[in-house]
Amino acid sequence: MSKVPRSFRLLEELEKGEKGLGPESCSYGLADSDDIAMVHWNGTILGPPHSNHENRIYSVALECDEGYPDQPPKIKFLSKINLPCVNQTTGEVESDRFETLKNWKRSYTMETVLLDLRKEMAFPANKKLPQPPEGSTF
Amino acid sequence: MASLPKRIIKETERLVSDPVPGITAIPHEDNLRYFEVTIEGPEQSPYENGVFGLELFLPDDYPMEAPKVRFLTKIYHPNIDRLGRICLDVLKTNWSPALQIRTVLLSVQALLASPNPNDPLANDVAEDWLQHEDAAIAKAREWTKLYATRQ
Amino acid sequence: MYVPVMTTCGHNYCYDCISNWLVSNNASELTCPQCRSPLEHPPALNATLQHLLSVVIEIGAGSDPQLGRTRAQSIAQYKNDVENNILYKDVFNNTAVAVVDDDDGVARCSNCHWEVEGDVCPHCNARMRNRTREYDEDEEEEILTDDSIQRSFSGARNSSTTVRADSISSSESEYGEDLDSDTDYVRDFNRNVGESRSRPAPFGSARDILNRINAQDRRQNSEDEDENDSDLNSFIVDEAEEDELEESSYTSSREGKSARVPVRLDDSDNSGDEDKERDSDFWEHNDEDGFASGDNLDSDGGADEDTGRKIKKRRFQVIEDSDEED
Repeated sequence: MSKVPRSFRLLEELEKGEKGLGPESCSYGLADSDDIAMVHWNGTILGPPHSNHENRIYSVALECDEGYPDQPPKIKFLSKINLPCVNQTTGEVESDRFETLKNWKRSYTMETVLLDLRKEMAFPANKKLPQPPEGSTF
Repeated sequence: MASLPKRIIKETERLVSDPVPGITAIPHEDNLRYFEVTIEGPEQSPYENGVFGLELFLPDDYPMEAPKVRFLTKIYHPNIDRLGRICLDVLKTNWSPALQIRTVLLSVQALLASPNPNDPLANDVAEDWLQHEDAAIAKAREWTKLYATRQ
Repeated sequence: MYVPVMTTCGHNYCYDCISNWLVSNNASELTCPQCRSPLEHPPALNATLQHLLSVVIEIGAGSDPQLGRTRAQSIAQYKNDVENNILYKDVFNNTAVAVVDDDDGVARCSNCHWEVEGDVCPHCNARMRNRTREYDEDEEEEILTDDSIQRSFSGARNSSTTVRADSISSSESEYGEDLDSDTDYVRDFNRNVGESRSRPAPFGSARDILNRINAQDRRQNSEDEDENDSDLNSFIVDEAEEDELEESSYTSSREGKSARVPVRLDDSDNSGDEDKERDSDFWEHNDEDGFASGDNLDSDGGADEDTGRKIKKRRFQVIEDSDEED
């Protein structure tokens, strides 16, 4: 398999996101549709059922810099959330506490990150964690 | 990386030894399927005197699948969107393995010479083009000067 | 080029190369890479050219053992395909019609009942004959880039093949020279692109190329329609006899009696509200891969409030049994 360059990889992801071909439990798109470098992205995660996140929609900001997809994106929660891997002051997802970022593979996408964060929310140890009021932001 | 198919090697050699006037395509050293491309704006088009940067990638299935091409230089054109994506039949439904990198880039250059606002990718630009053609062409000229001037 | 085959429009290709192209070509019509003429019949072995090439190759480079092997493989592959009646991976016979299921309004492949999204069934790779070309080009690109379609090719069942199996020259004389199928291909199309009068040379005006392409496209479109009309009746009859499963949809569509009923498909129907009613099992199952197993990628469409999901509309024409061709 040849290495798809960063920009074409991001265009593929954008297309998938725009067309809603991905799962319905998360979504993502460019933060600025004029951003030819495609660095800044917005995402949402629908809280998993049977957890304190049920029916909540979390907004996140993703940043895919020059190193992506060889390097993981930076990801930050905009909506307040109580999760062990999320820095409680900034909302940033800390890569050493989140397996997907820690053991990043080139084949992972922004969708992988969002879905794995959702799994993190549904994880037995996390799903009943007390959560800040809905709608509050970092 | 898997070895490069002979066809790609041949095409690359020919692009270097026998370049198309007004077009350059140079493979990246670390990825020989990924090309840095420049296309000169065609004469007597609003893009005249502009030099546009593009990128081109040959996917695994090339030549059964079309190359992927995108503008990196901002351009005001009804068939090119704000991310530089190009709406061109030969890059999509009308791809044929008999086409090559050079013919694809020539088609892109031809698209600059004859914008087609009836089959738009950038809807706002196309509307502008259909309703106020002179103003749209003037804007395309202005953008060419602003963003596509040779350094 | 060890096994040269010639299309009905007169262009020669290596058997492997053209097979790959035809299989990966997801447009409604199989076309010649060179001139884009629709290919209704499988290209036939060009024995004269094969003989000429064998002479050239022998003169060119006596006995390269590796090329000898490549050549033997190519020829063996062709022979095998001839014997098993699967020339060109059977793409010329493997066709079906998109039939709209009355229960859910979903278009399905009449061969395998899989949901059909594009011109080619993602499950059995059958080519839909009643596809219209009115949909958005962007949508088609998504189909083209989905290489699963190509890979999921399953050789599909088929009856009544009419492929004429030309026997291949069996003389296994040593071929040699620094030629392999890639270079052959390049030479082949260089020769054709560069010298053929049927197409502007790559150095010709780019506008000419575009004009030419557009003209061909228009011609091709009109031919597509003719093709659809002429072939459908017999096909439907055959299929209905063979396939009990299809009985209901065929019967109901025959009762309609009008020649063509355009049916609008809206993929995004099964989104939003419906999903919220699904139980937790549904979510657990669907989270992992993003879509339920066995489901077509597109059918999982959920309306995400935040992405402003683009509503997809595809048009199928269901062509029904009528007497006009009999």
